[in-house]
Amino acid sequence: MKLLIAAMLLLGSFTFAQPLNQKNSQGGMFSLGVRTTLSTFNHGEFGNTGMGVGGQFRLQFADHVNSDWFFDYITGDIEDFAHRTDYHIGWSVIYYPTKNLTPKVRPYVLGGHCFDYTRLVDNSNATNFMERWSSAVQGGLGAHFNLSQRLDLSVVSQYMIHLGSDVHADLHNGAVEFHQEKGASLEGHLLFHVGINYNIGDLW
Amino acid sequence: MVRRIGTVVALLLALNAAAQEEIYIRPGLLKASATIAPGKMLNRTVNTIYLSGFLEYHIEKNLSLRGDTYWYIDGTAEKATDVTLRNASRTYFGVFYHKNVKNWDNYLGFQPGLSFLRFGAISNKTSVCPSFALTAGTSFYVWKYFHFFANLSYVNSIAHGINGGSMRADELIFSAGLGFNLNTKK
Repeated sequence: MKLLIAAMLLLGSFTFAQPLNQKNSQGGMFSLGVRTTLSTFNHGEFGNTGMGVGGQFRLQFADHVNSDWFFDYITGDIEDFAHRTDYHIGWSVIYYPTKNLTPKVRPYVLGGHCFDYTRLVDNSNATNFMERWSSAVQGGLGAHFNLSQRLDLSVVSQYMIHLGSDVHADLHNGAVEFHQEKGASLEGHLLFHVGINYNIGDLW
Repeated sequence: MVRRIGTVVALLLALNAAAQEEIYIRPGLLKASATIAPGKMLNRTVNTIYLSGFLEYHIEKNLSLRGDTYWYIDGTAEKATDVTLRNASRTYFGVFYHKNVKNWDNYLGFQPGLSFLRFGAISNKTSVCPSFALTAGTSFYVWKYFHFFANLSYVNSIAHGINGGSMRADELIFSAGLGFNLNTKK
């Protein structure tokens, strides 16, 4: 463990100490980051917004094509009687439509896939819960604000459509009940992300 | 008395002149500190006290990556009906933008993070809350190893899973004190 920590510190200091060298194209650029997520509505209902935190790494394939691999942990209310937790793990392909490869602001379009785990829990009784595994697809728009050669601040808005059974909670005669309904549904989350990414280096 | 004041002023001027000889804010600057940080919850009349610490590295003169941690010590409520925290810790990591004049550094930061919150009087469960922090602050570097700093952070968090509904736990946290710094690059 100590060896691992020492190796990570050495690797970190090595990458921090070097200027970013681009070998050929922007393909091969690898970056790491963290982000904050706002889930503005769940399953077609405004309100009950969720807040999330997560991380991502990006691996760029070509000058105009990047990929974003992410994990998000999002929590939110279901009125005042229950709450939900969503875990998202997935990837998106990012396309940069502008010709300039090193602008201050670089807008992009994204699309990708995601796997989700959702857990709904009764606020008054933690043993009363429902969980669901599902997959999703997402698409959206974003922009990198390049703060330096290595660091960017990114703002993204994306809609994530879940492909799986619908789960929701209701209050019946004072008791919290969870329902899982079969059948695909085109409902999901509208997600906003603000994140930072640090460019580690060019892998190829 | 006048002589003493004059001596103190002369010493301060000498320190200031010495501090201006070398600019310490540059890429490779590593800084850290730990201090006691009072907080005020924005959704109830509760004052808190944290033990806080940070570790920061300048990747550019005006950009740094920084991690902050707050460890809850105690809190008091002005109204008996307001619920205080029983346990809490908050950890953040993000980017800071700096605007500096010689060795005087002013900065703004954005940090995603996590808060672990337990409102003991109403729930024994620790809520793991996604959170973020917005920080504004100032630092003055007096030597290659020391600086003085003051920060004001807004931390956003909501504790879920509490009987009766979630509880907002947004706070303004102030921290100030002596920090340690080291230039890792020539």
